[in-house]
Amino acid sequence: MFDQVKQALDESTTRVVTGLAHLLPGLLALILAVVISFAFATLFAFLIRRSLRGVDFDGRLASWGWSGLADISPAQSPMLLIVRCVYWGIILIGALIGVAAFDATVTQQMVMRLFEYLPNLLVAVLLILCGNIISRFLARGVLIGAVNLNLPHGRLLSLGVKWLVIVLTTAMALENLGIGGRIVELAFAILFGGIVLALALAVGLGSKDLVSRSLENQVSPRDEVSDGQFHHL
Amino acid sequence: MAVLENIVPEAREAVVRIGGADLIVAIPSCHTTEQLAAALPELCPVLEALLPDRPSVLLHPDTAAAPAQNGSRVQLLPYPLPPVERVREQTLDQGLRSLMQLGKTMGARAFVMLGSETAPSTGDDLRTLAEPVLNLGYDLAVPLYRGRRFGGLINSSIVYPLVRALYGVRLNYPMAVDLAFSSRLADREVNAPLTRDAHTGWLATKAVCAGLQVCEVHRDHPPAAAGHEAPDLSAVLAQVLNRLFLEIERTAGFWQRVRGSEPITIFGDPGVPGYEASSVDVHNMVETFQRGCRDLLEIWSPVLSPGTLVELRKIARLPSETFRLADELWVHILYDFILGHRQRVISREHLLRALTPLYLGWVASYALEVQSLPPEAVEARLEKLCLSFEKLKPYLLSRWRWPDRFNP
Repeated sequence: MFDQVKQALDESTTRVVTGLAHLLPGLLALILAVVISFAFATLFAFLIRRSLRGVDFDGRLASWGWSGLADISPAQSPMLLIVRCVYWGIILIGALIGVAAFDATVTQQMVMRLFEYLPNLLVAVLLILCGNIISRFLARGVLIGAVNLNLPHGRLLSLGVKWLVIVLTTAMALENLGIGGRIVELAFAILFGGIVLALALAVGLGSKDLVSRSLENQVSPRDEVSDGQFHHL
Repeated sequence: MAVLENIVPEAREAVVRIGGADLIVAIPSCHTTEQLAAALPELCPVLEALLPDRPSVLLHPDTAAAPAQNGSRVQLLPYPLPPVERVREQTLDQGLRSLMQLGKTMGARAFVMLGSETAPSTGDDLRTLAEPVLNLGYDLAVPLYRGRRFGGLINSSIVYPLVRALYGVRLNYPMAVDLAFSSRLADREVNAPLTRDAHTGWLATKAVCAGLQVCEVHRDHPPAAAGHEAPDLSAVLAQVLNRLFLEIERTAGFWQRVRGSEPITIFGDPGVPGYEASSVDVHNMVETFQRGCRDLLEIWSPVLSPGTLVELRKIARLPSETFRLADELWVHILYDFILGHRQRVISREHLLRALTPLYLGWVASYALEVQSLPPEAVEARLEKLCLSFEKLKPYLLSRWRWPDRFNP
């Protein structure tokens, strides 16, 4: 009886130790891959930071009209955003290589699926990034236009436009990732419709005078740049 | 005769038939046969008198059919001239370029563009503009319009003071669409390469930067109002300022060396500025300014200096009756916007449109100040503004040269 227990224990210990021995190279490979990826990430980040700083990347980007990117960057520096993206991207790739080193079919499948999913993820990130920039641009344009027209609800209108674009791009990103399915579509439709209705009500009720002025102008057009007593040109 | 490739094929035969011409006058505002028929009796005798023994050409849009002439030596040449509207200056550039290329082909020594849409030019206007270029050796003659108390406000509050302070010449209306110029100036323009920023400044600023002789000619009427397709004030302001600010950027090497300003020669009779005192309602302008101070501060803050923002917040609390925006503050605002435009702090279109409430604030303040003043005092008031622009030019210079030293 005792011998059988002992044999069972021995077998179980052998199995665990063998399992551990099988796992150890993979684990070591994972640690090594992560350490090497850290080193590579640091090196690449350093080189990219140095070369971008050398060409005054932030300044150039601003002069090309991409100043909106600074708003969503850490420390208002798009250069830092790129450096961090590259840094964490390399570490992520290193970690994935390390995980793939385990001799496990499930892990391999998971890694393969993750790699297959990566383009979708990138597209989703790009969509959200573009949506953010476009929403800020449009919101600013609407706010300036509303103030110049002396509209009372310029801020609300601008905020509405901003969220319309953000909701739209987020819904597109989620659909691209395959998250949520019909619920996202439904939620998007409700949110989008709600925002449009709220804006229409707010602007419509608050700008009756403006609408009537605009209609009057259509009936009898007048020169906008010479407003009664004042001639601006 | 020079090459014909630069002119449109439809006009080549006519150009060959006419041969050379000493003076070419373009009248893009005469779109219809009736308009052309009405303008010819005014302009042809003046052209004949200006050049009794030499040929001259009157260029008119090909949409108008030329009537039969009774013995006039002036040659009529239909040409696809784009309609000139002050706010769509790209078409003015196209019209000017057509005129210059045609003139070069025909060996002209002087050119006149009569571009006003709403105030057709008279024979006297043509004569007074053309004479300094034809007979006195000037390279550019532009009209000096009769002043209006509340007229040409973008020019008198921004364009004229800025051109005067930066380029050092007291050229009252740099944006004029009626002008006469020499073949020397035309050659410079035609030979200049067409770049991305070709539509910058005006012919007047280009002539000044090239060191050419510029003069003004008194006109007994105010500048014509904007064309019939005029968009809103904000769009007009953005268009005019974009053109001016791009020119400032292009000619930075020139204006950084200029100090003070000099008057230029003025021909003709100044006439009597006949505007009467009148009370004004600036309530809407002040309200737009106050709304701007409430809602646009976050857009202005990367452009304007902290001190300016504090001042604006203070002014926004003033009631309409006592509303005042000091000249120094207005000049600082404009100089900051020039720098913001150069550095592309935000989208240029947004930046320039965001100036509208501030501009309306200045107009309201000016209107309240001058509403009951006599014409001489109004002129003195505008002169004071111009001096503020000149006085504060070192601020623009230092920030232009060392933008990193100041970071709002």
